[in-house]
Amino acid sequence: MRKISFGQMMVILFISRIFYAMTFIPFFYNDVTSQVIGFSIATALECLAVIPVIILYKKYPDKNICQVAYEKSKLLGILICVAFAFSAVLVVNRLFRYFGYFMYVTFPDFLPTWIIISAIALLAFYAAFQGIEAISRTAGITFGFFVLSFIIVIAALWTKMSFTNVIYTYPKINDISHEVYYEMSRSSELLLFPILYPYVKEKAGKSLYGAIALKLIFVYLIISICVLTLGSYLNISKFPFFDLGTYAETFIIERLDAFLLPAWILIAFVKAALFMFIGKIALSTGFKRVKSNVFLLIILVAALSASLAAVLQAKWNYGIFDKAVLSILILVLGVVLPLVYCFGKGDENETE
Amino acid sequence: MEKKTEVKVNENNYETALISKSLKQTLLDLKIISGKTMDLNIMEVEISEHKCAVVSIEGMASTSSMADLVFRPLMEFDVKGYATEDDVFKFLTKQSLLSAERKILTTYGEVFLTLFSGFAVVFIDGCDKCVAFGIQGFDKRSIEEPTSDGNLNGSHEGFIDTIRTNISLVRRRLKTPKLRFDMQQIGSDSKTDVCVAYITDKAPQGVIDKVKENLNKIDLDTIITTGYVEPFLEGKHKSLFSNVLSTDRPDAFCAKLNEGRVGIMVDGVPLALICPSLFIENFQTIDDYVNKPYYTTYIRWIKYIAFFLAIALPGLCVAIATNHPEILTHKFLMNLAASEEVTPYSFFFEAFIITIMYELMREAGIRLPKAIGGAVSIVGALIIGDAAVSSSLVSAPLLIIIGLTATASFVIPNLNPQTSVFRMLFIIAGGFGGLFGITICFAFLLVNISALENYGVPYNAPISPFTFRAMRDVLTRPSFLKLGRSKTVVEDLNGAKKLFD
Repeated sequence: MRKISFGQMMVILFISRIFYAMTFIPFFYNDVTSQVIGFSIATALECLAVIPVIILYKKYPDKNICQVAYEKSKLLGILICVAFAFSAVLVVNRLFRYFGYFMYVTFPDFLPTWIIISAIALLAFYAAFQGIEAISRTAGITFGFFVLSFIIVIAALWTKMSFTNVIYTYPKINDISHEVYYEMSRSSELLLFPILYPYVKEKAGKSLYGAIALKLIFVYLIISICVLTLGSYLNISKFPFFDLGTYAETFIIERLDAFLLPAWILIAFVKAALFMFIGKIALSTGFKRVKSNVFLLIILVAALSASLAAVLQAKWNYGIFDKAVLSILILVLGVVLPLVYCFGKGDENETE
Repeated sequence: MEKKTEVKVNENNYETALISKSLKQTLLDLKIISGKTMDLNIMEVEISEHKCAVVSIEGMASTSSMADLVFRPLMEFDVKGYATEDDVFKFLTKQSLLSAERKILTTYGEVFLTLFSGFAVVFIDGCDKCVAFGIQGFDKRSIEEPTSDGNLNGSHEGFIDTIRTNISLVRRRLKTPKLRFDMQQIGSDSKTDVCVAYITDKAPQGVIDKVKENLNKIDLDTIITTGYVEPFLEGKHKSLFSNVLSTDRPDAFCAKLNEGRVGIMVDGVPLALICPSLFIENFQTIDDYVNKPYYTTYIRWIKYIAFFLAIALPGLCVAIATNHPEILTHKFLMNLAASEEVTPYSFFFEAFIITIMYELMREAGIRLPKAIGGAVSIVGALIIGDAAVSSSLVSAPLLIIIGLTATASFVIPNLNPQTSVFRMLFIIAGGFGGLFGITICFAFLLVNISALENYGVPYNAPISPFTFRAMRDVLTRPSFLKLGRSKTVVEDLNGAKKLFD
């Protein structure tokens, strides 16, 4: 099995999460104070939620959760493999729709949304087809590109940030609980890690905590910059981080929004490629006789056709599927299932 | 080795057939096998009353060396009546100093291989062995300055077409017994000499073995140039980039061997191949290690910018001018609009046509003789540079962009095929899809490079997977005080372990 480094794994997990931070910070649902508190609580909960999967990794370092489940019970194993693949399709589908919506809102009359989604889907398929090493190397460069874009935006906005824009609001329990719920539904890295940890050479657990720490830093930074720069405009902004680019100005170019677009596209396609890849791995664990690339094609067709069906009707949000179903799947597959398999003898014990 | 039977020797079965004891039969066999080719020279002589023949290929062996090193000693050996054919053979092999290189041959296959390599072969009647003397004298190019990879301060010697001269150029620079050259013949008809070069304690054994294995897999009739060998060394992965580096500089070749790479030289080609290679090495030249580090660092960044400009500048301009004009400053936008107002076609179409015209002229300039090649530049400058603008067919800003792009592409000649193709793709993507299209193209390029690896080494190392120590020689160029202390060989790069573990 081809392995990736701890740093590459960390970047992969971070990229899979930061997409939502860049595109959807729903300030218009909650006030910022509640959001920051909710996000912090969700992150703390996530730190606890990953403990079972880290224990599982220590017990079965060379087997992903689907392989563990398949070995314990063939039927249950197949069900879990299908559930992982279904989650992957859901995540990719959600990502395509959100990205389509983002392009529809920010660059209207530019290209038909179905072309945009199809292009990203095909590119993600190509990357997933090349394997985890190619995705992780691409993710490494994408991360560098994202950080560079971030620094340029901050540098361009430096003079426009002001503490007078900060308006303190009293946090509301309802808003905080909403934010915790939303944040957990976005924590799709909990689905990635149980499948991908056998690909990491060493310190896989630390890569997970590293990714959470990176997420924390960047989300706080994004929120801070948005608040300091945009002020009350946040309440009506759909894509605050993107609006920062619109607001940013240098002596060479008038605005940086289009300049930020490549970072979004790269992050979106890397995330899509990752989930297509884990879907393929899950299904090929459950159905060993079929060639794994057939599953990749199935996932592409399923995710793309569902997204196109929604996008062509301008139905950007699936409501319950986007949050409730995905939250349940993340909780069951990423937390409960590893917790169940934590008990009992692991590979090391068996060999002993 | 099979014994000679009654089956007549011909051009299809000669390789393992043994030489006849009868000189008459041997010479007849040689003529049958070669089809009485006109360049086969057979000189029948008598040495101490024994019939002998000196066989050579016209133009391959030196006539003066043949006279001095073969005929004169042979004529001086005269022990009439007492010498047997074995005495003559013994004299030729042990008692004379006819030439530095001497081989004893027993089969026609060996005979023809040595003959076509410029040896003279002496046959003795009654003896089923013959002796070959290395007196190569074919015309060859003298050592000249490399044409494709020029430099100001480094060595001015370049590889030539003769493999043995190239080997000596490398050996002269690396006087260590750990430097090994393993020669083999590839090509069922051409039997081209292909040499694998490496330093034993630096090149990983896994890579050396894999290179030799890949070379052994070559099943071609002829090997005319390195392009015939390269696909076998590259592996199965389909990429727009080549993970085998080629150089015509012995100093650069030696530097790479010293970093643990394996070199491949092909006879008849003034180029050597190096594998595994990295994407970033396309930006490194031998001058980088002559100039002061601060200057090299500066020039390296210029090269990175040049690569970006060569690939993306026209596409980006088309994307911004066509789809995202809001990015441009007001003044710039007004100037651009004014210049575009008088042209009949869209900015995208103009960029497309001008780029095609530039590629046409570049290709014509390369293929034409140098004397006429200059005329292409004049035609280009006059037609494109002046007439096209004055007749308002294209706008002046676009010409500046294409000119800048062309100049930038000359900075990284190794990547010229890729920059040419991607430039065009970026223009089309930018025209139809704006910055979104450009990013999709860029992402495809990124995945394509990221998926590429050679002999276990990722092509885009040390950038991704990131190796901090090796990145010093990418972002900057540390002085030899630091580089010498902690040299990074391919084995040390992150992600480069599969063949070496």
